[in-house]
Amino acid sequence: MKKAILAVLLAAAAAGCGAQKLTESQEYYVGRGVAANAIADSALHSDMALEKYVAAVGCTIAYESDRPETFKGYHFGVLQSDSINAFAAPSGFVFVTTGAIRHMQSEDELAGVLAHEIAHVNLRHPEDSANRAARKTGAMDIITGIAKVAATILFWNDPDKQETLKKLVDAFGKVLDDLAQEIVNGYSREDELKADTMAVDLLTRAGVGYDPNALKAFVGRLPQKDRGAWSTHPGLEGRVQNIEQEMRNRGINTVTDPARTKRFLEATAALRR
Amino acid sequence: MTALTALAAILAALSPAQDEESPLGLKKVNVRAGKFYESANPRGPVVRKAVYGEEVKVTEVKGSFSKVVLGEGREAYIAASALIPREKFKPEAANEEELGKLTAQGYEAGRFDPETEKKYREQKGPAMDAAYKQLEALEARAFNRGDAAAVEQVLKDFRRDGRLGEFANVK
Repeated sequence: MKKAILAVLLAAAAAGCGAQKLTESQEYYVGRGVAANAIADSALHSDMALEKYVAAVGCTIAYESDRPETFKGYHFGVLQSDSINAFAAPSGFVFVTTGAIRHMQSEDELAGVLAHEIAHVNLRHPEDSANRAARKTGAMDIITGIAKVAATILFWNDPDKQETLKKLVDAFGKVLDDLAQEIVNGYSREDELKADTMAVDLLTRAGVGYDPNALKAFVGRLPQKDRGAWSTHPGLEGRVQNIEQEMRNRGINTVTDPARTKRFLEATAALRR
Repeated sequence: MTALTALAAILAALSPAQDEESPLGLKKVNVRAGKFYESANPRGPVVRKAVYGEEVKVTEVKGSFSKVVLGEGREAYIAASALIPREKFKPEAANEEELGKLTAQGYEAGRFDPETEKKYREQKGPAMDAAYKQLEALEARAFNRGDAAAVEQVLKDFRRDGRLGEFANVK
C-alpha cells in the first residue's frame, strides 16, 4: 500500500513540478541574496546624496510603471565598481555601478538605463530566472515540501528539522549562484530587446517625460573595449535600431532638459574628479 | 496524518497554476509596500497603506490599476500587480519575530524565509553578513521606508525641478 501511494506521489510530483512557483515573499529573499552577493563583490558607494538622487530618478519611473509595488518596494543602489553595468534582482533591487554613471552625460541617460532595468522587473525577468534556477537546482522540490511529505509517509515520523533547513540553505546558495551570472551579465537577446522597448514606453509616460534618445545615445556610446557585462547584451547596433523603431512607432518628440543635465552633473561631480 | 490525507494535500499542492484567472473578485494584498489611491493615478492622493494579506473585492480594472472595495466599505485603487487571488495567497513571515509566531502555529522549515537567510549568512561568513548589513541599511533609507506622503512630495519637487511629468514642457 505504501509503495503504491509513493508511486502516485512521485508521478504527481513529476507532473506538477513545472507548475510550482516561488511566492512574492520567496522572490524577495532571493532578490536580497542576489543583492547581498553583489554588494559583497562591490560595496555600496558611500555618497548618500548620489544614492538618493538615483533613487529619485528610479522611483519617478517605477511608480508610473505597471508594477509600481514589489513585495517591499523598489530599492536603488550605487555599486562601487569601474565596470559599466546595471542590473535588477528579483523583487525590485536595482543597481547601477559608478563606472556606468561616469560614462553617462545626462539625467536622461541615467533614466534610460534605470528604465531598462525597471522594465525587466515589470516583465518579471529576474523572477522568471529565479524560478528557473529553483527548479534546475532542485530547490523547488524542497521549498514545496514534496521531499518532506514523502519522507513522512515513508518513515511515518517527522524529518529532522535541522537537516531540512541545511538542505534548504544549500539549495538557497545554489539558486543564488545560478542566478548571479544571468542577472549580472544580462538576459537573452529577446528579453533585452523587450526591456528596451518597454523602457521607451516607461520613459515617456504621462508622469515621467524623459528623452529616450538618451538611452539610445548611452547604448551607442559604450566603448568596445570596456563594455563589461553589457558586452553580453544583444548586439548594440540592434538595440539602437530597436529603440529608434519604438520611438518612431510612438511618435515620440521629448527632449533632454538642460535643468536635468545640470543637476545630474552636480550629483555625480565627485565621481568625475 | 493518514496516507490519504497526505495524498490529498500533495495533489492539492501540485495542481497546476491556473493562468486564466479573473481580474475581478476577491483578492488578497500580496506585497508589503502597497498603497491604496483615490484614483487610478500613482501621483494622486493616497487613501492609506495596504496591509499584507488584506482582503479586497476587485470590481473594475483601469489600466494597470484595480478598483477595489476595502473592508471598511470605501472604494479605492491599487496596482493590479499587488494583488493575488484569495485562494492562492500564502502568508509568509517577514522577520524573525513573525517567524517565531508562525512556527508556534505549525509553520515549519521548507521555504526561503528569514530563517533560511540567517543560516545562509552564517554559512557564508562575516563578509556576506557585512554585505547584508549594507543592504539592510539601504532598505531602511528614504524612498524605501519613508512615509508615502513625504516621498510623494519629494518626487513632486523632483519632477518640478526637472520639468518632468505634469511639469514637462513637451507633452
